[in-house]
Amino acid sequence: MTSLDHELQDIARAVFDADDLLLHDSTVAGDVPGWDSLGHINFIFSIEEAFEVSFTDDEFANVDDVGSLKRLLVQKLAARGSSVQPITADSTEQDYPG
Amino acid sequence: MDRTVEQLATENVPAAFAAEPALSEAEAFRRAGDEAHALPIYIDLARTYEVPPAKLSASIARCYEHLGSYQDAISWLIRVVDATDSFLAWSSAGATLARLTKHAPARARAHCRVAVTGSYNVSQFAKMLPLATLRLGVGVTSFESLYGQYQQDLLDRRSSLYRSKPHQIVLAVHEGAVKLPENSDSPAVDVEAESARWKRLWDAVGDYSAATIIQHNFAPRPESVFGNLASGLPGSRYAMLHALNHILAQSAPGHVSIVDCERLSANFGRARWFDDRYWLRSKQAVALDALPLLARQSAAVIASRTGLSRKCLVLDLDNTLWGGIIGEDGINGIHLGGDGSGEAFVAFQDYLLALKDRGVLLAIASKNNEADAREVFERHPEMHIRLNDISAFVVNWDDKPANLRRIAARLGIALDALVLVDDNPAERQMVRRLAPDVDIVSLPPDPSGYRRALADYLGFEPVAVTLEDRMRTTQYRARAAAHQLASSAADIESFLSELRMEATVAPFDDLRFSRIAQLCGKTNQFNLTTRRHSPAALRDFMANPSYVTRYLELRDRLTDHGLVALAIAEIQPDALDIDTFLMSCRVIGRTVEEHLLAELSRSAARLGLSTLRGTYVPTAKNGIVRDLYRRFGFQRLSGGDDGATCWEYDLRALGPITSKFIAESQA
Repeated sequence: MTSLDHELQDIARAVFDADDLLLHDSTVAGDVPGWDSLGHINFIFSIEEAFEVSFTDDEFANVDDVGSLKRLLVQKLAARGSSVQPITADSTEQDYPG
Repeated sequence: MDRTVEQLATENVPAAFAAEPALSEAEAFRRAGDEAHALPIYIDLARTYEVPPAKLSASIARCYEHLGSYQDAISWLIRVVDATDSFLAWSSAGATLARLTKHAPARARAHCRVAVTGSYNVSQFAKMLPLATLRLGVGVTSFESLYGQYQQDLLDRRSSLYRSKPHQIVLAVHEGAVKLPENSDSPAVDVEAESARWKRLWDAVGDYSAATIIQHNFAPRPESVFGNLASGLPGSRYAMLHALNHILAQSAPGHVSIVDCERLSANFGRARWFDDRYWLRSKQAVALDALPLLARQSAAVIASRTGLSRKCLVLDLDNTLWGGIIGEDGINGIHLGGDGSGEAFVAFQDYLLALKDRGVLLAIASKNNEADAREVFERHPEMHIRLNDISAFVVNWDDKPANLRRIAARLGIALDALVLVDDNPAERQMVRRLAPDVDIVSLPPDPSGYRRALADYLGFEPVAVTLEDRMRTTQYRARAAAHQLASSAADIESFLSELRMEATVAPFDDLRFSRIAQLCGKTNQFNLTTRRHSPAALRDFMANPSYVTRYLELRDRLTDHGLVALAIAEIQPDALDIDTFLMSCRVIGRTVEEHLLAELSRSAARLGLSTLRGTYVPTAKNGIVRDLYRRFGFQRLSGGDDGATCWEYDLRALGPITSKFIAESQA
């Protein structure tokens, strides 16, 4: 797993309230309890918040599997010229020491 | 500094090198399902922070949850509120809290049922709200309505919202729900009609329930076709929305509190507050990352309405009210006024004085020589706070928790009414550990940020500002003085006589109504039945000839205490039955209760009744009045199933109750 995979999985675990959730590229909304229309909104927004990216209306509507979500995210991060390190709410204020 | 503080200061230094491996180790244990081993490592790591990162607190909460310690899990979850404004952290913590409170209600200073209804998709907001209220001491059971149902919910007396029997209803509405055109030829008429529509909803709630309404007002959209002209054109939607907000705030009756979204959205940034992608996709009218702020502010109003607003701000001195250390730098060496940081301390003091003027008590707790500290207040030309602004001045070398207890005792309030402002993280940490009931405002390192840090603290939210609030410092100072008189007086009776107390007792009236409703809503300790009558219910008692209502205003030679006690009693065929009897704790020990009971016994006699009847309903807070009726010669009749006891006073056998120390004066 890449660090991007890890971060996405962490976000998904928090959003869908499931500590043992495992995401694969083939995972689709229907595989994850709670990934309904509201869950989708929460998931997409949490990704926007964590990585400081913004999805367009169409992307929003059409992305409902983890693989295409990841490809989109990698594109956006590359276009911004950034590494794939997410900016979490924690790290903007206080990071874990070390 | 004493040793304990030094130790705490050392503990406070982040364990910079040990931390990262410790975190991975804990995560590995947790992945393996071994929460029992992960937990102590996480907690050890959390101790290296004053406010642990949200993710760390949430991890600890999840470990406790797995181990079945639900209250511990909840107490860690609440820390997320102070750590971050992240949508993800809040929504995730909100979901965890909802699951945890299914096992048992969270331990809290108060509990209430809250219903959330609105004009947009309020689901995420509704899940965050209980987290925010719990941080302020209110455990909330919430009812969440369906999308956009606010009118049906409030106008239909049989709606599931009313069936949930809410104590408070949050009306989470947005500007899209406002029926006003983009441009009006008759703005005054249009605004009046729209405000009338909202007031009808408020009236419906008053008619169908005893609930309080927490009304979100309207943030105007950032776009306006009139550009810079909009605010000056009465017919622009922008100007009309502003006028509507103004009218609603001005005409809100006692059972309505406003959450000022117009102001909050401006502070947050209107361009960020409105994110139309989320409106179009899922009818989210408030940007998701603004929801933690909105939940926090709504919770502040709920807590205030529940009577949990804190009363007293306890201030440190060195590097809090001025820069530098008075004991070392001397009165000419400290930074206060002049330029730069000295000016920041003056600005902070002015903000504190404004808080004091609206009813928050100021106290000092500082480790210093008392004479050094006093000299600054008395002689420094830039010292805006003076000694007579301070209700309790405690300057010595004792530890801070002990001095906080001393201040609470001197002012006659509980520790959980105090908030500490201190620049020193070690002192704050010590208070967190040893006096956890005291809430804490952490100051940033730079004094230019002090004012904002205090303004962002939500524990002082007022319901309404009354004349009593503005006079409070005088009253508490007098009380502290009286406290000292009392301890030196040879006997308590001569002390009471020396006070030369006078009271006015009369039926409730309009002039005093807001104070009466406030006292009824927030008195916890000296309260026999703790029945939280809504303003509408109080109005009914006033108008109903089969009820006797009385307020009591107290003055003595030191101060005017204002309206401090009230009673409501029902005239029954055989007896005058006391429904509500309560008194502000700031006049405990003044025989005010004797005076009010004497008045009720005279009322009963005038009505030709031979019995005065009272009920005591025990709560966690009102043990102080358990034996009140016995003390005045009432006979106990029976006990109810909720531990309530019923008492009767026989007027024919015992004669009316007399007031020995308080003279009657006319209204």
